[in-house]
Amino acid sequence: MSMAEAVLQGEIRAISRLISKIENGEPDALEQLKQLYQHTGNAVVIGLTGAPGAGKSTLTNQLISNYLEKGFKVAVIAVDPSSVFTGGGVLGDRIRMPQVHKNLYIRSLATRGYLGGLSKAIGKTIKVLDAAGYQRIIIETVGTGQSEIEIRNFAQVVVVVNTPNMGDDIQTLKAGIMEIGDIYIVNKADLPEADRTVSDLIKMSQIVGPKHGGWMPPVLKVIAADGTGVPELVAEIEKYYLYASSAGVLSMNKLAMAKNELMEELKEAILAEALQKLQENGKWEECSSQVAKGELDPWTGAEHLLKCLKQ
Amino acid sequence: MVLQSGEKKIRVLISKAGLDGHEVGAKVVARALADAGMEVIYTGLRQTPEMIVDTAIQEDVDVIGISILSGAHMFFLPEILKLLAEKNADDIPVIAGGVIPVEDIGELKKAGIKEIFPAGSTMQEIVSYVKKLYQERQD
Ligand SMILES: Nc1nc2c(ncn2[C@@H]2O[C@H](COP(=O)(O)OP(=O)(O)OP(=O)(O)O)[C@@H](O)[C@H]2O)c(=O)[nH]1
Ligand SMILES: [Mg+2]
Repeated sequence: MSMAEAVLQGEIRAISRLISKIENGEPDALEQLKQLYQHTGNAVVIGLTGAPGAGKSTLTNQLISNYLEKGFKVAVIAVDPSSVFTGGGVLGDRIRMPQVHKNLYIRSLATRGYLGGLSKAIGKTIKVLDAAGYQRIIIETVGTGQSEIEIRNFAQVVVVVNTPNMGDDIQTLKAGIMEIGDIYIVNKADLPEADRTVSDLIKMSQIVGPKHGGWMPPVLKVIAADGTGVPELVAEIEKYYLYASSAGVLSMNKLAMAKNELMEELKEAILAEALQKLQENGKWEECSSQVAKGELDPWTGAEHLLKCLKQ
Repeated sequence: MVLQSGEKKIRVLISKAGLDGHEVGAKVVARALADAGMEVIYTGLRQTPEMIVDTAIQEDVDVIGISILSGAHMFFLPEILKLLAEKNADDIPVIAGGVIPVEDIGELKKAGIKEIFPAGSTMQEIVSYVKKLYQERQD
């Protein structure tokens, strides 16, 4: 049985191995993915983003329980940063998800220096889990850098996790935050000031106005620590997904996602081919050292290399 | 190749089996392995053998490291090995550390635990042993 066939049967070891192959950039992974692709497109992908410590993992654990109870097969991809210095990392999101269930699969991915703040493997990992039959795929981002924006490229529903006591800062919150989420929650609503944070977020979302012409992102109070507000959150996630499907938002996003995916693959393939050629004929080293010595500026250098490629 | 950010990383699971609430030792080991460039999946306290084996398989780890202080190692460690075998995953090596009396070490190793690191083992010893195990699996 090929790896792809085993994945389609839901074999956990095959799924795990294939995700590792993807992470490690092994060429064989693409052959498997090609076989899996036609079986994808059934999962609802939910992105959770929010500052470090906001309670994303604790909330993910609650979503897991809720969806498992409803009979769904659930997968989680938890992304944690790799150290810039050592390349290693302690991936600790699972601490908050101490669950074993035949319908649950959890995978931790390190960013491995990927600039987007997610993992370079994220798109393909989603495809594997989707093909394996997981119906709800939850992605926990690192919550910093570009990850909040980048998650839009992969998730159909984006939930932004806030906490109380962001105080006056909320006004100066990163511009654009209100455009990222489909749903906003104020987690740790057991702490003081939760109501104020809720009303601040509502005010801000009113300034931004409804998304896609008809969806006013709701602001919900949640206590991930004990599950308060989680059924309401799940209901909103499902409601948004239905809205987005019927309003054509998802098919619009699909085209954007397809372009994004093709662009990434193409960039990589073209660059790899170009660099290989330039390294073989020595132009890459030649040009680099000229720029390093100050004999050539990098812009003329790049133009020169491009010309070499076209020959 | 210049572009491949994809590069094989050693992935290790560090788990605490048993009911005791001390995780300092396990955390120090996790940190040391991460500082050596590895990806360490850290699950925290009170893991059952089922949780440990499921996590190891889902995370596709190269090595499983178990920290035990509760004295229940003669139950937990063989149980983990048994479950790994049941799930066709007994190719994943298991090492253990914590409070494990010398007289039990022989029996645990005979059962299939690769190595035991009793209290007082250095981080360097653990890091290089994990690297060695990883290398052996590649060959
Ligand atoms: N008071 C309170 N604390 C909470 C709640 N939810 C989570 N926490 C605590 O917040 C801390 C961080 O929770 P995590 O779930 O690890 O947060 P996270 O966003 O996943 O953190 P990172 O992955 O490190 O970014 C933990 O100590 C949780 O126990 C809540 O509803 N109320
Ligand atoms: Mg987390």
